[in-house]
Amino acid sequence: MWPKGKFSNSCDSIERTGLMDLTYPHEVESFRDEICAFLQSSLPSGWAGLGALAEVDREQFLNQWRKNLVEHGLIAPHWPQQYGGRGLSVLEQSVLTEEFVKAGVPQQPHPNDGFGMNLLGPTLLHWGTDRQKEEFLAPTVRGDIRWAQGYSEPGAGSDLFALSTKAVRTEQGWRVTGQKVWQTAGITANWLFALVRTDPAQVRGKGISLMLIPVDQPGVEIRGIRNMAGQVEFSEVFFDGAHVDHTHVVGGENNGAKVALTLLGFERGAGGMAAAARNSIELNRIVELSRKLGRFDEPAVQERVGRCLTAVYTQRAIALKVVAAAAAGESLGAMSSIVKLVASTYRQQATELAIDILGQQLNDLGGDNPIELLQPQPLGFDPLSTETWLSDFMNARAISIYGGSSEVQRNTIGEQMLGLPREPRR
Amino acid sequence: MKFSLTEEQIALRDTARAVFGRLEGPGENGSEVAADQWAQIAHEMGFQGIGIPEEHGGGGGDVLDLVALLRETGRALVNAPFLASSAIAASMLLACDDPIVREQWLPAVGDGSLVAVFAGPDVEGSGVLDATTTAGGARVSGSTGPVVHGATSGLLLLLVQIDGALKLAACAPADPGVDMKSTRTVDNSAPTAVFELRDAQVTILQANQSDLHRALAMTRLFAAAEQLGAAEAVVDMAVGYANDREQFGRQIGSFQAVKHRCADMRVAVERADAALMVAADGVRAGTADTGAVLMAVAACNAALRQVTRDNIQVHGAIGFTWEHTAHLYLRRALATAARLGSPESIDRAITEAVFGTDSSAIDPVEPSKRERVSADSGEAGR
Repeated sequence: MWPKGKFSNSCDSIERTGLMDLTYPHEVESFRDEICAFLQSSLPSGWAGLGALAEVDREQFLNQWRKNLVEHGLIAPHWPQQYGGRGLSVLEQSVLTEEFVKAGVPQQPHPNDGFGMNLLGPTLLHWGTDRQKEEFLAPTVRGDIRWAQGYSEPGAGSDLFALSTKAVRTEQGWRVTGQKVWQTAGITANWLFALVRTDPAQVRGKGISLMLIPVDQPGVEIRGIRNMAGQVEFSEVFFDGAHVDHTHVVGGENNGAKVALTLLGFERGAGGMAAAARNSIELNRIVELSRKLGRFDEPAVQERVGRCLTAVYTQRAIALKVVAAAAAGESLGAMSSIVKLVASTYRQQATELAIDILGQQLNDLGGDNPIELLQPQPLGFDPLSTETWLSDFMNARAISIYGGSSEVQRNTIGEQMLGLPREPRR
Repeated sequence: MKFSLTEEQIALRDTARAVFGRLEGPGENGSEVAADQWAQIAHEMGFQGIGIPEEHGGGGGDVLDLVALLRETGRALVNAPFLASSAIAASMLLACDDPIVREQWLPAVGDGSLVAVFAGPDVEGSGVLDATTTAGGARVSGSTGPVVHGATSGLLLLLVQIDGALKLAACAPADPGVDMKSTRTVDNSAPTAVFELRDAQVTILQANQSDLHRALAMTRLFAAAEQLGAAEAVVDMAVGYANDREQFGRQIGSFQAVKHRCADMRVAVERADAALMVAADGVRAGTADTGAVLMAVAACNAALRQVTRDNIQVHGAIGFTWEHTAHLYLRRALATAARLGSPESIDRAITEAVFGTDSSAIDPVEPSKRERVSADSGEAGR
């Protein structure tokens, strides 16, 4: 029986519990105001976004900006205050990153920042010894220690646990031999966190350890790799008798798989709104481009822009769902796979549209170098910079490959969300 | 912040799923609802009146309550005018300020004794008839397009143009000058009829332009909710088959090609679901604009389109038979898409709603100063 009148939304009705509510709590909105005030007072008047800054002025701005963020505890805001953070909640992190994107400023200015603040740092906070926290966290915040991630190997990409870089015990710790590849920002890193095989008697995910390896030693050689856009943005590293101190294993010997999987979990719950905002800004730039080239009124352009609008709207809607769940402490499960799949599909959709709008401009390239390689360009970037659109397009091809390829994400969705059986393996 | 249904909405969803699950089918004509079943549902469940305010004899539910119900009518391909009358026609009526609407029609729609239908235009606006003012209202000549559940309706609503202004008109199918003719449709779970009006006298209802536009957006949102429910049923069907069917010594869902197709279907539904819920909540809170509603509509339309084709592929030959239900959902996808307008026209309408002809850049995905779509259209609180 379904009683009539049960749905009344008048004031004197039964109080409705758990009403869908996509507004942020009052204190989070206050925090948003605080961040907006910070941005307003920190940025020069007439600020039009990092993209609008002259290329020659970028480096100086970014260095100064990073110092400012460190001072205000905003470079690793999710860390506890004692380690240089602000102890922000998931909703606050989400609001912070979103407002920074809308203002056109980076929240993590240096290419290595994300690896230190979002991956290695939270891993140490969870698994690290007091000594490790003492040794690494503050220098990471300062930028004196710059991290890159040593996971993939030539023989271990999607199949991470096929890794074979190994370490043997020495008096002071370990001696590492092997090779890692595809480290983003590897050439500017001075430390690596790497998964290394420490027990030769075990196979695959068993018997591996997470190690912290200083780059500045004879046994470590980093070589930049030129990507197909022509940029040296990632690298490979060769370990030939590299030394690792015995205090620099994280989470216990042979516990690396578990540590790595929790590390992978410290991610995107809080970043989805910012990602949608970045795409929104880029879509505006695509529309500006098409207007400037006199192509906005073409029906095909209108249609494709419309599809991009819907895609960004849905991406933002999913981000709201994810951040609400994260704020409630709910497990996201395989939703992160949907988030990544949707994000990578969209970046390719948007950059394909930009390239098609450019048409013959691709054979008459010009403009500035891009600021971002793995993300859309920040607010204010010149829409007529063809070099940059080409770079955006090229780099977008990598998004469906790194961080778990789209094929792997689909496997995860199929198996964990839909309950379909795993493929038999050899 | 909370992105989920209330306990009451979850209970409504579960109850509705059980009620509609007990109907026969879906068969060739969807899940049919006999007249006595319709009356029983109205009397015991109050489903017909969910979206109608209590002061008009309804259940006083909001947009999200109706969405929860419509996802279930869509899931079961319910052949009854919950969407057509209780959601779509009711939305248009709620934009009006006439005593007959408030005191007679809304209560009657809400208790199921009156089936009202709306001959709505597609996204490009075709389907609006010309009318001329008369002493008692207006005179209209012209044909509507196919109207779902038109043949069993007692009240026909249509949009007319009088001296360049958009108006909502009403007449009864039995009125002089109004001829109703059932049409053959691709989707027998949603039977259609066209109305030809020959110099027919119609009542012009009191509603302003912006309320009508808002109500129109809401009708599309509700239709999208039904599409989403159907899409969810289709994904369940495909995944169920992929888990059960064995070939080459294992479940076909263990092969990546099949698994990935199912995963993509699931992603399409997730996108549609998230977009619809955000848009519906925005309508409820008065923060959504017509662009946002159109985007949610586009996502649901695209999702149902995609999954109905993929579902047949996953099923192989058996999915191609008349006997299997896969084609019933495909037919629902075809018919609902046809009513909206081509996907291209929807995409263009979205671009126009967001960017218009104004050259200034705006944030396409956050509420702006553009026209809001609010559930309070036409009522107090606007």
